[in-house]
Formats: sequence, structure tokens, C-alpha cells
Amino acid sequence: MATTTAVKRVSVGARYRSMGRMARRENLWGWILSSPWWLGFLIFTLLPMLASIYFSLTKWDILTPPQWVGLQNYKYMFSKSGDPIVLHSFKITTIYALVSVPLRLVLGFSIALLMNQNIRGIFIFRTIYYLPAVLAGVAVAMLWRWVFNSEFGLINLLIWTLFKVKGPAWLVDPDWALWALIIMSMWDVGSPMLIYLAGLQGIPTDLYEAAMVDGANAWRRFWAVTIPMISPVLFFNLVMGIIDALQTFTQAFILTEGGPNNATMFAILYMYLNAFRWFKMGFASAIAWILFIYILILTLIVFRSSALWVHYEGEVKGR
Amino acid sequence: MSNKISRRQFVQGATVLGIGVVLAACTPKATPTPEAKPQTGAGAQTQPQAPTTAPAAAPAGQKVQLRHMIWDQVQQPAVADQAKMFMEQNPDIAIEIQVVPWSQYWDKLWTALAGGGAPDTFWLNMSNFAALSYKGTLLNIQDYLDKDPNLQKEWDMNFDSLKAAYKFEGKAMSWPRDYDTIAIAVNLKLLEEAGLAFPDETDSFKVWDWAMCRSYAEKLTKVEGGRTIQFGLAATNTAQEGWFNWVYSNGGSVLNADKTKCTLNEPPAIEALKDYIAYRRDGLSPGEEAIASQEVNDMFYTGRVAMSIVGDWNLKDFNERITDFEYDLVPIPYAPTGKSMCMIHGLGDTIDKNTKNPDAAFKWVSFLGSKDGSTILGKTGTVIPSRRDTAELWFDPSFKPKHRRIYLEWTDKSVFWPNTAVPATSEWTKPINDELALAFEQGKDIQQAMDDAAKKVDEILAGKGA
Repeated sequence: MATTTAVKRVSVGARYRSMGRMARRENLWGWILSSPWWLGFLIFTLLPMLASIYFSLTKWDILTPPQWVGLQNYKYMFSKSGDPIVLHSFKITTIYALVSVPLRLVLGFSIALLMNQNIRGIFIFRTIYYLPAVLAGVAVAMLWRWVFNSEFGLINLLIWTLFKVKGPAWLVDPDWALWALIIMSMWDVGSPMLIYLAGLQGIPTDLYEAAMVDGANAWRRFWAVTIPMISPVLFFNLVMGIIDALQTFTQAFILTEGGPNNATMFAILYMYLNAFRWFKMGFASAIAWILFIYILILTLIVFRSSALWVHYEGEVKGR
Repeated sequence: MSNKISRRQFVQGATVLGIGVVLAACTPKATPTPEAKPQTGAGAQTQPQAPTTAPAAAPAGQKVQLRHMIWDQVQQPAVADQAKMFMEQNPDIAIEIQVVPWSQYWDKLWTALAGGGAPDTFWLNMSNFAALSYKGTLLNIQDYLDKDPNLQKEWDMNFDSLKAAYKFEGKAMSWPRDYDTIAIAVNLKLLEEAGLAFPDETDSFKVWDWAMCRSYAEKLTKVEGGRTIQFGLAATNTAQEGWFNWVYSNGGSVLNADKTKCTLNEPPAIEALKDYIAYRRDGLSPGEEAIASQEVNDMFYTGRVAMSIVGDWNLKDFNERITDFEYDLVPIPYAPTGKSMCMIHGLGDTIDKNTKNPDAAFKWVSFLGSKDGSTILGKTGTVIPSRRDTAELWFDPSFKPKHRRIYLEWTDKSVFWPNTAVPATSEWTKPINDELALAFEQGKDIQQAMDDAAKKVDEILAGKGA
């Protein structure tokens, strides 16, 4: 639309003003029609965000007016005599992300490679592998509670059948609970898999043909064609995966409530407990902001690193 | 060219979108600021509500609508029956019952009390009572009671500990509804197999003390091939159906009288916790691992646990599920102090201070607590009514098991969980739960664990920190 207007503007100078009015009207309609989104964004995202900056500087229990406390909430998070569980929860969240994100990345990609094969009935497999992504979080968590059951659970049954060893008490053992949640996260790779699959299908076949003509074997074709071509998608899934992992909540909330002994106390869960169990909205807002900054920094680091390993078609490097 | 850029833009755009989602998720949802509410505090709710001036009297011919919020679907029919009778007596008032599941109940109630749209009347439990009273969100029903001696008499029909629990600064702020106490269920078949006699019930089971309970648990524990196939007593890491009863029997407490210090690290409490946790450490009780695999009640039904500490609300299930053996009840064992105490808890019917129809709401709540209203509740057999004259209904001798009356007899030997106004009870409870978990599961020294817990609890009670 913009180009046609511009063309007309140049060619029919006399009509410039009336077209400008039409363009302005079009502009107005654009705003009006998109208002559900931006109004929603303003009212339900931006304003609450700004409000939470204010609340993070107060003590507020919802029922009585907020009291200004300055930076006390932030100090309390980091000082030695403060609340050690906040930093602990960041540590737990980070360990979870460090382990689960790379594993999910590799697993999702591997499954996508399998799903990219040209065999009969592949769509059935694709559906099966994607299915976990559309199931409700709470129901899935309840299901996994049974899988991890130390006496009757599937995993310990499998361990017993294979190795004749008694499996750990997954969700009630502080040494194992976090690993149980990491294992659980491996199950739900449907969404990244689908994105990889779309990426894989978008790689032009002539690249593979050219590589084959040059005598590249399957292994070489994978490293020289598939990986570079898919790297933007890998990058996308990495960033989304990091953000997802740092926001882990449902599994821990349903399965362990942060226990045993805070072994699965994720940052968002601790924020939730402060906000909606103990009604410490000020402190919870402060945790939210620290978490936001933490995620932002990690995301920026990944963005910066992307120049080193993400390949964009047609991009010219080193010249 | 454009194709290349769009791909990159897609990835970056999508990532930015992702960050947007983070922003949204990290930010607490907008809750209306409480500026519309007057400054409330310790003294606010003591101001008389002046019932006569409230805009309660609806114009003739127009019904007053009241919304009553509860969380238990099972009890909904009983409440509906109560509402039906009430509406027949008061055709100008309509009651709407709203059931909100326990998992959302408190979030919903607190935010609604803050932002408006709270139900006119609702169930309240003891752990939320002090905080909500302190913040001035509950209607002071004492003013109504003071005006009508008959109503005061009705309110006084409730058991003493329930009345004490629902008073704030000497004023009634909620009308007790039901209550529960704690006893120990015993599998009589396993008792017989172990060659043990049912404890002598003379003088309120005076012989049933810590030593006897322990020796029974030892004889009722069976180990086969290194695996415990039958546990003597399920000593779970819970307060209500667990250690709390031991602590108070032994003269210990959770907090001191003015609720400024945690007293679980003092000798009476430590002695009680040691005796209780020993069941776990010595393998007489299933551990957290086994409990996570199978619920304690199920373990009792299947004979894997011979004795189980249970609140009266379980009995309906027990009577339905237990078919292949007989069971009975014994009280919480007597401590060396010569006392046997148990925890009591109960709900109250409560009125939002900002209700548009306080008079009608009070009429409804006082009906629920009246003999008529309470009788409907008692006949259902799900919970024990809070009134001395209707509680009996639950103890119908035709109901199993034989010593069901222990729950009634122990009502006057019961204590409620110490609730605090500021901060929320569930907050200072967390360090206790965390440290007890270490003592139960990781073998942490009990004195050390409780010293560590008490230190944190004291800080929270002192209002230090966020």
C-alpha cells in the first residue's frame, strides 16, 4: 500500500493533499482495528508492569494501602540476614535451565530429523510426538506424579526390570526431585520439534543435490548443509527454551510445591508463594523484576553469541 | 533478497515476542489499588457497624440477594438445604451458593475482599481468621449480639475453643459452624493377630500412654526379607494429624502466648517431637517415600498400617472403604505429663464488612448457627456441628466405629493452631515445615532443627524483612 501511495504522490501531484487525508484516515482505522491488541497490551501488560515497579518499592498485603519502603525489598533479597531462599531459587532455576535446555534442544532436533523422513504414515508419528504440547499442564503433571511414584511408578519399574536396582524416591528425595523435573521436561518437546521440522522442510533440496554432486556423504551433508541452514531455527528454539526454562512453574507447583527442602523451589514459584500465599506483593514484585533482568541479560548474551554460530542465507561474512 | 531478510526478521521478531511474553508473565497481574478503601488497621473494625443505619432494608417487593461462598462440593447439598429452609422463613432474601475449589479459594477471597466483588458471606478457617480480622475486612457481629441477648445465648452454645478461636480483640467476628478433632484409628484384626488387647477405656483410656503406644507399634510392625510389610503407626510429618498432638499433650506449644516467639525448641516440645519422630527413625512408621506412593488412609484400608492418626472427617470414608476387618478408635496417647490433647479446627460463617446488606447477611449467618440450621448440617454426618446441642447428632450410636465419641470427649481437651494477624500464618509455618522435613527425612538433630526454625520464625513474627 505504501508504495502505491508514494507512486501516486509523485505522479499526480495535484491530488497529494486528498490522498494524504485518505492515508491519514487509513492510519486511524489501522489503530482502531488493532486496538484490541494494543489496548490489551497497555492495560494488562504495560500498566501492571509499571505499577509493579512502584509496588516493588513498597510493602503491600493487598488489603491495606502500600507502605513505601524504598529499596528494602531488593536489599532483603541479597543481604546475608535477608531471605536466602530467593537466591537459592535462582540457583535451582539456573541449574534446571543449564541442563534441560541443551538436552531439549538436541532431543527436539533429533526427533525432528526422524520426523523428516519420507515414510508412509509419518503424519501419525508427527501427531504422536507433537501431542504432549497440546495437553494441559496440570493434567500432565498429575500423570507424571504416577510415573515417578517410587513403588508403583513406571520409571522405577523399568529400573528394577533392567538392572534389579531399587530406583530413587524421585519427588520426595531432595537429591533427585530436580532431576525428576528435568526428565519430565524431556517429554514435552513437541513445539520445538515442529519448528525444527518446518525449518528442515524449508531447506532447498538443490543444496543437498549440489553437495551430493560434490561427493559429500550423508554425514558431511548434515554438517555442511543441514546444520548451517537450520541454525536460525536452533537459535530461536534456544532463546525460547531459555525463557521457558527460567519461567518453570506448573510442574513444581503441582508435583512438589517447591519441596522437598526447597530442592525444586523455582524463582517463579517462590514469587507466587510470596504474592498469593503470603500476600507480600511488594516483595513478590521485586523478585519479578530481578527475574526479568536476569532473563534479559541471559537472552542478550545468547543474542550476542549468535553472530558466531547462526548462519543467515545470503549473509556475507569475513569480507 | 527480501526472502533472506524476512527469515531473519521472523526469528528475531519471534524472539522479541517471546520476551514480551516473559514481561507479561513476570509481572503480577493488575489488582485494583486499594485507595478506595479507607485506612484500615487494628482499630478499624472496632468501630460499631451501626446496623440500623446500613442500607439493608430493601424496598418492598424487591428481594435481597446474598452470595454465600464455600469450598466443599460434598457439603453443598447440606448448605442448599439450609438455604432452602432459610428462604422459606425469609421470603425477602435469596441465597446463592457459590462453590470455589479449595485450591483457588483463598486467592479469590483475599483479592475480592481487596478489590470488591467479595461474597456477602463465606466460610472462613482459623488460619486466615486473625489476618483478615486484623485488616478490618470482616463484619463485627458482636454489635448485633450485644443488642439481642437471645442471639448472644445462641452464639454461646458453641464449644469454648471454637468461640475463642473466632473472637478478635474480645469481639465475635464469625459464627462457628463445624469442627473436627483428632484420634487414632486401630485395625482390630491386626491387633488380635499380634496378641494385643484393645487398650482399657476406663478413666478416659488412662493406660494408653506414650510407652504403651510405642510398644503396640513395635509389636504391630512386621518385617519380611528386609522389607517392612506392615507398619505399627503412621507418624506422618503433619501437624494436625501428627506431631502437634504430641507436643501439646506434653505441655509444649508452637508459639508463646503473645505470639512473638516460636517455642518448638523448648524442652517439652523437643521431648514430644523426639518421641514422635522416633516412630519414623526406628522404622515403625512408613517414611515419606512410602507415603508418597500410597496415601496413608489407603495404607490403613489395606492393612499396611495398623494404627493411623486421623481426624473425624475421615470416618465416612473409613466406614465405606473398610469391609474386611473391624476398626476402632483410641485417643492421642497420654504424655508423661498425664495429659492427652489434640488439635481442634473448625470453620466459621463470616460476613464481608463491605456487604450491601449486612442485616440480611447477619440474619442468614445467625440462622446457619441456630439449632435449626445446625441440625440440618449434623444430620448429614459429614462434619460435626459446632454447637453443644447439635454436635450429638454426629455421634449417633448406630454409626461406626464403637469409640466414635472420643472425638466429642476430646473437644474440651483440644487446642487450635496459633494463628497470627501479621504476617500470614502460612508464612511463618514454612520454616517449621522445612526444618521438620529435615528432621523426619534427613536425620537432622531435632534440637538443632527446631533452633534453626525458631530463629527464622521469630524474625518473621518480628516483622523483619520484606
